[in-house]
Amino acid sequence: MNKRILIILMTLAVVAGGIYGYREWNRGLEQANEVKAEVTLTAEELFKAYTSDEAGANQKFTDKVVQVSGTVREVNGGNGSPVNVLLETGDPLGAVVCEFAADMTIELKSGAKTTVKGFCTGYNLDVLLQRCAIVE
Amino acid sequence: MTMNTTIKSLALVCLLIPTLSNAQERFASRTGHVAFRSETTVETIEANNHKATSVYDPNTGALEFAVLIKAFEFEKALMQEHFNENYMESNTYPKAVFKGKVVGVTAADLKKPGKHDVTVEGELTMHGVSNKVTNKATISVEPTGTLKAESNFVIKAEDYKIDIPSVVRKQIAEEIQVKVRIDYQKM
Repeated sequence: MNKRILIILMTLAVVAGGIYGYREWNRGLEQANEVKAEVTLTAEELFKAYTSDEAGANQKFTDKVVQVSGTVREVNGGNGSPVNVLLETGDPLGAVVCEFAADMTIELKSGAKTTVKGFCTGYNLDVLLQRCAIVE
Repeated sequence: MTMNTTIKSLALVCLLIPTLSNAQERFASRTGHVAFRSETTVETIEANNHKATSVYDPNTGALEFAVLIKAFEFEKALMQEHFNENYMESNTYPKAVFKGKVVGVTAADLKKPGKHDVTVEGELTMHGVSNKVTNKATISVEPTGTLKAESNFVIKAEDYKIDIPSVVRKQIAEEIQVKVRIDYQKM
């Protein structure tokens, strides 16, 4: 009797492990609308953090879900490429660029105030947030 | 400096700016597309980055290029995690950078619409390793005056000290195919 229970339990464990492994293997990329922001600040503050101390800012923000508020400078992209919402930073040479899926319709005009969250992937002339979602 | 000379020098600077910028017309992009593909009989892995930054100066041929490693997106989250943590070590080496020049086209060629076969040569740095590279590319001049640049080339993981453990050799190709597409705007 005990042996049978043991065999059943072991089979269940193997099946559960298999399902877990299969799901883990096929897990898609997380989108920002599925998760809570870990840090909240203004686009200007985020940009300044990277331009004044890139290594320090990488520690603080890169790989995190960052929520930024700011003024829209420009919306570009689309046509099969990701849609980008560029937020003002107080520096004409750089923006906080929020990347959205190519099929997203963004109804924001330059000058509009917005709050966006996304996965921060670092600084390369602009600060980049990916797989973004509009908060408000 | 008196007020008068300040105004005079300001006027001089204003006069000079258009001629200077005209003589050094450069092209730039912040939305370059870099895709790579690893293909084996077992698995095809692809990743895309739509935020390559690049500056190209047709007068000198100078070309610079940078991508954030973490900005490459994969179909599966696990692939992206392994790529960043195990192979590219992107916390330590966050960017891939190219510095070099374009050979085979003149600034005058790029003033009129047309397609040009060129060679790009220079130094590619990633994962803390720099290598001299030479690749073929094309530059198309659009009727609007913007440039479209394309290049396909191969990167060997081993050349950049990217260690692929033998357990996953069947899943990950030693030679990675890279595709670069950039639309340059006048700066």
